[in-house]
Amino acid sequence: MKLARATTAARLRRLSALPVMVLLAILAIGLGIASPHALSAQNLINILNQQASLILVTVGQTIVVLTAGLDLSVGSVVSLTTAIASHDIPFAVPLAVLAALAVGLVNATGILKFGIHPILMTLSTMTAVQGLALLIRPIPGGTVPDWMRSYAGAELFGLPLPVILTALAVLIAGMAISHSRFGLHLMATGASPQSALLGGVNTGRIILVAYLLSSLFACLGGLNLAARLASGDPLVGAPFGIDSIAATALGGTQLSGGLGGVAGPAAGVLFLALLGNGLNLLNISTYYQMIIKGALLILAVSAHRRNQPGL
Amino acid sequence: MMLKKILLTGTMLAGFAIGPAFADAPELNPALSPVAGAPMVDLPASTKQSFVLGFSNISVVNTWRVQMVEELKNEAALHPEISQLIISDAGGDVNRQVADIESLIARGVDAILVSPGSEVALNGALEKAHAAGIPTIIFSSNATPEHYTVKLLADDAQFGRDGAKFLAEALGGKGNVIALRGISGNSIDNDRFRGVTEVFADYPDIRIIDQGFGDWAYDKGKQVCESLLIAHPDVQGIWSSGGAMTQACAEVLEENGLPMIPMTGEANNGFLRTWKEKGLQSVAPVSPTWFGQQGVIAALRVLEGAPIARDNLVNPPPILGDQIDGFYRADLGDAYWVGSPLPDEKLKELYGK
Repeated sequence: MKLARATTAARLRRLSALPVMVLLAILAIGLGIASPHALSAQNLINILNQQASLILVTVGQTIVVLTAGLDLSVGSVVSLTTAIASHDIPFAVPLAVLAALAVGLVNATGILKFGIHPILMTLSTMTAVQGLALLIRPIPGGTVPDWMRSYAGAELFGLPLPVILTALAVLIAGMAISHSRFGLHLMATGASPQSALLGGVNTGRIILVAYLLSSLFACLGGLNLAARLASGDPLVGAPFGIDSIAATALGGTQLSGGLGGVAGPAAGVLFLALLGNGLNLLNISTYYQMIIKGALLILAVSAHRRNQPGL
Repeated sequence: MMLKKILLTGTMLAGFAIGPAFADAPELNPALSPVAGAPMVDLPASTKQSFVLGFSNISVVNTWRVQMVEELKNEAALHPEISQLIISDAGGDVNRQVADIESLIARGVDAILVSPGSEVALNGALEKAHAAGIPTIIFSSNATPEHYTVKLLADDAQFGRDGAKFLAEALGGKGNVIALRGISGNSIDNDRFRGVTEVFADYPDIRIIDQGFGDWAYDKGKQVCESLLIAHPDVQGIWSSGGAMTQACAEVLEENGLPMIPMTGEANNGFLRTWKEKGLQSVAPVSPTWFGQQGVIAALRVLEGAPIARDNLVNPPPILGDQIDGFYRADLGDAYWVGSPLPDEKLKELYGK
């Protein structure tokens, strides 16, 4: 019985990514027919390279969402990271990582110790960290270390290095969620914290680790972005909070927690990106693009089966 | 006689054949002038008969930008040699703008027009365009790649100087002034204000006694103006970084029964209406929307081998009190930016009442 439930859960988890994968395929085929440029290798590589940062941020967001939480502060962490990394000071990058982890720690402390709802807690840190980023770099500019520039331009097997490393990160996070004790506890915490606690899961520690990981992935996204833009920008991360949540939901990860994975959300990022790119190639006005995006998001999320038991 | 005619026709034909192919290239707006010492663009004319232009825009976040894009599209439609115009809008996201430019390069467009969202972030992508042999036209805000084809920029400090000179004269070189700034930290606002301080450096008896940031918006400008005027009801002049804030401030003066002191505005229809209706003492520095239109013309001049300088600045003269009627359009809404090259029907569609 127990085994049967576990396999059902595993199947559901795999299925959760299915609708977005199907949508992605349909979109790709449709665009391929409509515009010969959409599926050119160069265009696809461009999209992957552009979206690497958001994919990294979304991986972190997904981990938090699996615990039934939400992290609105990731966008500000991205901005803060680019603001710090673009300053010509020693240890700028380690400093950016430490700052991000501090944000994760504050988020988890507020949620766990003071019982603040994740939306309010991370909304507060989002605002405060945005202010900090503006304080550190009031206007876009600065420069990043040479090694970061070289990283952004480097290629391996004809693919940009940032794309390869991002794919690797998704793979590792995916494996950790579906095949490790941590992943199991993550799902259990999100599906039903009381049962998880009774089952011997240290839910507090799981939630702490989830928010630390979310901030860390946001920091990695920020470093990738700073390298790509060869500069810092105190507002560049602003759309990442909402975008990462949209991609997570689109990818079949339930916002109520306990069900999903990272492959779907990563595909969700690519779906939204390919949609924007394709509509641009088809010369569809920005205003229509926004309407189409909003409508498709509702459509895609309603295509998922919801309110199902996670474990 | 007949022979003469044939000879003449022959000469004309020969002249046409060997004469410059750019004879038909459109001319830039005379308000654009080359920066002193700027080199001429040194690219061979394209061998193609028709061109695909790509335009990477950072956003259409306000009416200025909407009008700029409409003017660009309108100009492109006037030239049959432009077979296609591809517009990508990055929705304010510089990361996406990098990908948009890369995507235009991948499509092999004949020229890339860019209204950049960052001075530094697009440089890598713009260098790639150069490496791919695609001319790049940077306009309206700056980007700083090592290689580019043409830049069309405004001197934002001139906007500040125009207003400050007017105030200095209107006040007879003496008096206390408050400043309504735009968005804190924004480079355009910083440059405009730098122009003001440059001019006032020559007038030791004019002092900026206080300033506030109204974000270029009517509502925020009104709050900021109210608090500044409560603190300093006896100021003699107001410098403003934008027309909507001046409109708001004029209303604050009126509501509080204060005298209409000299104040600087901006060349948009809403401000000109207030200026006319309230009989303000003012001046309207111009921040032209027609960069996009000029970008298309610059691209065509480059592609057709017509002479054009690499770096160009636009400094249209400010609108003065006796010139309002030449610019103000009572039939259009407040959001209209005056001096648009758009046809009337398009303007009415965008701004009609």
